[in-house]
Amino acid sequence: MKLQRLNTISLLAAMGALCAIAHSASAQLPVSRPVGTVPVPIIGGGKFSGIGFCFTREPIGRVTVVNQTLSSGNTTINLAETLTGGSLARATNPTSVVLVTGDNRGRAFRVQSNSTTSVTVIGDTTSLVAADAKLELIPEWTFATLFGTGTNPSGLSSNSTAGNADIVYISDGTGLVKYFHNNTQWRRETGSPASANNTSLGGLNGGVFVLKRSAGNLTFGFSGAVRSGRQIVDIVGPALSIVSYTEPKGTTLGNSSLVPGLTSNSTAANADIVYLPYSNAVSDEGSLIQYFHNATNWRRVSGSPTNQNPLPIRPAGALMINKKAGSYLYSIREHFEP
Amino acid sequence: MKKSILITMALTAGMLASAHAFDVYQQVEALDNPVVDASGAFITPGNFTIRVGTFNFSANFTLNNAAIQANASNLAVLNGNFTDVFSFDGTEGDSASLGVNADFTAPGNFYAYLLTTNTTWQANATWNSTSARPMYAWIQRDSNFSEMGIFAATSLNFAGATDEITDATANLQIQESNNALQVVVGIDRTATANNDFQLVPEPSSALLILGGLAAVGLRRRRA
Repeated sequence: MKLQRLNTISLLAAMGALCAIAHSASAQLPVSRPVGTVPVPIIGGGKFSGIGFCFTREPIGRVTVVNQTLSSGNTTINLAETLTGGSLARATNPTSVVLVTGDNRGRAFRVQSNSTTSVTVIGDTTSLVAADAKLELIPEWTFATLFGTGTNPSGLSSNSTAGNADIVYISDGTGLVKYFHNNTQWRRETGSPASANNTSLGGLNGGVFVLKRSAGNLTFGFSGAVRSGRQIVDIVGPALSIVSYTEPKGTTLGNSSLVPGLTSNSTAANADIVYLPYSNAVSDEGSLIQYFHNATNWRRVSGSPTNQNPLPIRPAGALMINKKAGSYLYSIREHFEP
Repeated sequence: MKKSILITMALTAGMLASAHAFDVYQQVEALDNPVVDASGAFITPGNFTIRVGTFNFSANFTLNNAAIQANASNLAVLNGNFTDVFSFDGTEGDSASLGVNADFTAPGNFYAYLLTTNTTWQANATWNSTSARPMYAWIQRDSNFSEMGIFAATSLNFAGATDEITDATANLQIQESNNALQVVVGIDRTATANNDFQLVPEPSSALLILGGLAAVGLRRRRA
């Protein structure tokens, strides 16, 4: 039932977004695109669960870069196709562009705004987007499109008081921000926006951690378009952020290739930290457990310091990462890699 | 002592069962480099007690450490200015259950942690008073409390249990790679094969030994 509603929402959103490209041959997408569903357990009773974006919303279409200006600080990408000006405004229709050709294929840039002939993105594209590169326009997950907007969306508890509602954590590039559904709409716990239905959940490679205060477990049916090709996740630092492991089948900490991009050190205080809402002990299900790579293997920050390399990063898994310095373009292992 | 802690924790957990509880870890470990006694032998389970707590001489970490060193020969003063949070001798074992879990993993190597919940931690006035205070590990030989080592780390406080994400874990890692480590009392023996941390004998004894050596030197010079 919920899946049907989500699909309907996604379909309507995709139809609306498709209108953004006024006329373009290269905006055509394959008639049939692979879609998927992963059941994600949401643990209740004051426990955490993560949802990583191994699926996207229905892509809007593909566009081609033309007359690209490769100057320092350039954030504008000129396109061969014609867009409807303002249709990709971040506040109302948060969208990303993903490079699908070239050496940097798999990198995603978040669109800030657009004109009829270009998109302006967040982040410097100078050496990344070459003329004639192909980009895919993909709407980002929002509170409305991932969870819905009605009371108790997707089974999460709404309440007019944040302290009584279930909480969804997202990252804003510098830290974590808490949101809840206040019986009317999604809103930020403190500060703006008070109306957050259309707020992006951290971009294509973002993710969420749900703190389900209410009792009872849920199975969240996460469905969407299957991502294809290389995925590069931007792990920013220094910051505490949430990112997705975008390969649907998941992996293990040992096979994740998170290091050396994340800093290893035998002292946890000097290493980057990965939070997962579980350990290899059933009793830790829903608890935030911290892990770090001690230059030999993955281990817990506290508790038994045994080798945690086999610990799974589960399908549709989200990673909360404390990257203490620098940023890391994390290339996800593709499904055909061991 | 351990039993009373567990009973208190169980009662508190019962009272606060409806609150959102999360696990809190207060941990000390020496896994990469061993700890040896004053003679250079690895410390062993059952013969040494490792007390984890905080010293209360000063709110300033540097001044606190200076006061510890200045009173290193006076156990009564040290004890009077120390707040115990938990202690272990390595025989507890690690069951990952609430309370103290500890294990000696190799000669001279150990780890131990006090596992509580945030509600339990905050309800315990003694423990809660150590939140935002530096974590110290005080290792003493059971048969001679004066043989000891005291360790801490710059900017490492007990987890206050106020936030599950940012304030649920504290781990004092006694190892060479920990640049923040402070060997307040003891010797960091980087030149030894094990790169170990050594306890020191009773400071008064050490002073006597030094005094004796000085006297020998003087007699030789006079001769």
